[in-house]
Amino acid sequence: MKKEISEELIVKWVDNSLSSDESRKLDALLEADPNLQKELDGMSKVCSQVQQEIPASITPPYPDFFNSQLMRKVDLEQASQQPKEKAKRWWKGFQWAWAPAGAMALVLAFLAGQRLGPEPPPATVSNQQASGLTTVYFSKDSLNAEVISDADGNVAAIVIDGLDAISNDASFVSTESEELPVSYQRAEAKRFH
Amino acid sequence: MKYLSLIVILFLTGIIHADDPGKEKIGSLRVEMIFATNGDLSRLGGRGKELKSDQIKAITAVKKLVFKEYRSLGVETPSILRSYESWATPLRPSKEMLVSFEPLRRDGKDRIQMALEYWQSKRKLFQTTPILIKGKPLYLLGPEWRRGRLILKVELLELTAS
Repeated sequence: MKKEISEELIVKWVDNSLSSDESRKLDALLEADPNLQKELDGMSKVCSQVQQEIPASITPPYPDFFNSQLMRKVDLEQASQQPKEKAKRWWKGFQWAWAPAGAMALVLAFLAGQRLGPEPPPATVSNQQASGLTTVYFSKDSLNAEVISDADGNVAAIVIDGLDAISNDASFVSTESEELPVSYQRAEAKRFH
Repeated sequence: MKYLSLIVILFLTGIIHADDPGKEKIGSLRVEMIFATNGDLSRLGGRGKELKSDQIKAITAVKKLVFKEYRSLGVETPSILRSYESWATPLRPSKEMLVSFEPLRRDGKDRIQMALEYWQSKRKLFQTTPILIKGKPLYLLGPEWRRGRLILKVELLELTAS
């Protein structure tokens, strides 16, 4: 019963609605029970935190306040998106240029490759390295190659063993019935264009 | 916009029809097919030309290329194009033996590394990547024929400065 009275007084104290009589009663209770003071302090803290978190209510200045605020927010949002849309439209306007620009880039890359490809290296390699660079590739595993260098270390001869002998009937006097490499035919065709 | 597109197309057309720098001549080779044998030359049926003594001396400097007789069966001096594959057929009019060559890189003054391919008709026999030096021929000892061997002599005749 005593506790119920004290809680009621504390709630009223928090609401700042104690009468002078109730205030005297609360003072008396606080003197008799030191724990009650702690409880009162705790309630006071919670009360101040709640007041900080919950903003004070605003009275609408005019009846259409909420609608007009909402429309203003919508207008602001649309305005913030407009530059992006403009940028999109600018790029869309240049879509036609992608195909010729891509083709031009390919042609330029091809020409640059042709220019750069056969250029000399910055430093000349030594003779010994140069002879080491000579490699021989075969169409058949049964073939064997010997790379012979001269006194200076330069490649003088490459001896290929294991090649099929050419028929003695081959006379090398005519072009009839000769089958030519496809790459040869292609190169010849290019020469005359 | 349409005018700009037209200008780009005209520019591209111009580039396509302009001279291809890859076809520029940067030098020339001397490609010779030599028949070498320790046997009887009559098998050639009187074909081929005798080699000069200095040519024979140069060949026989390589031990593996020493034979009793040599005959030149044909010579061709094709151009070296900057970045295209070229071909030589030293046994003309026959195109039974073919050599393709393409520059890989320059290796200093009067030196160039080439990709050489040795073909017999449609068949590629082998491929190599020697450095050719002006004035120093390269000999490729190839297949047997009529109790002798075919020797392909490849020599760099000229090479432009750049």
